Amino acid sequence: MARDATARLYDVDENKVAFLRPKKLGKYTHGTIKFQARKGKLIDLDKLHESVWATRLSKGTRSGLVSLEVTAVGSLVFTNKQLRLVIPGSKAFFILGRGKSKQERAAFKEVTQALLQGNFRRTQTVRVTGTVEGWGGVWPSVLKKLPRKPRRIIVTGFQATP
Amino acid sequence: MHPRIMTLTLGLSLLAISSANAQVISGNMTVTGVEMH
Repeated sequence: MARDATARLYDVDENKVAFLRPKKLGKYTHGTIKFQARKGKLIDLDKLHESVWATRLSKGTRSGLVSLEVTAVGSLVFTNKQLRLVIPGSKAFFILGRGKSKQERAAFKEVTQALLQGNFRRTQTVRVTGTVEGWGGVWPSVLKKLPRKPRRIIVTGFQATP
Repeated sequence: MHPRIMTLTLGLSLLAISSANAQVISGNMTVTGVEMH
């Protein structure tokens, strides 16, 4: 059901939405909805949050949002003491943060190296994957307000070519 | 076996219209509380 509901999002390619087979993790069972934008389109996380909010999920369901990992394409810039991924053709940007795991630290290092190679000038288009902060929690608290902006993501993956 | 999320249901019906503020090309949303059938 969630797979179909996510596919209803206008900019989500309904042919590229998958609900990955859940695996039992202790008391609760997790599942992942994998989605992809239509060709030439981008997905607005505000709209995605609005859609999740519309579920009106309440206490007692023993369910919640564990995490949201996104992939975005844009240019790296260093401004206001922040490392940012600026989305072309959009007002949006992500603040990039370093995580604690080995994979996260390695990915963040690649980001900083790409910026260093360009002497901290705006880089060419790159692809960054990361976990969005503030997108997690149990219902209904996770639904009550839009996660803060600017959005900060913990980098989990980097590709120099989009 | 058809997995479904227990209560994350029809509310996801709002349409996301194209926005000048859109950001991502893909994502993975992980939820908990999944029922197995």
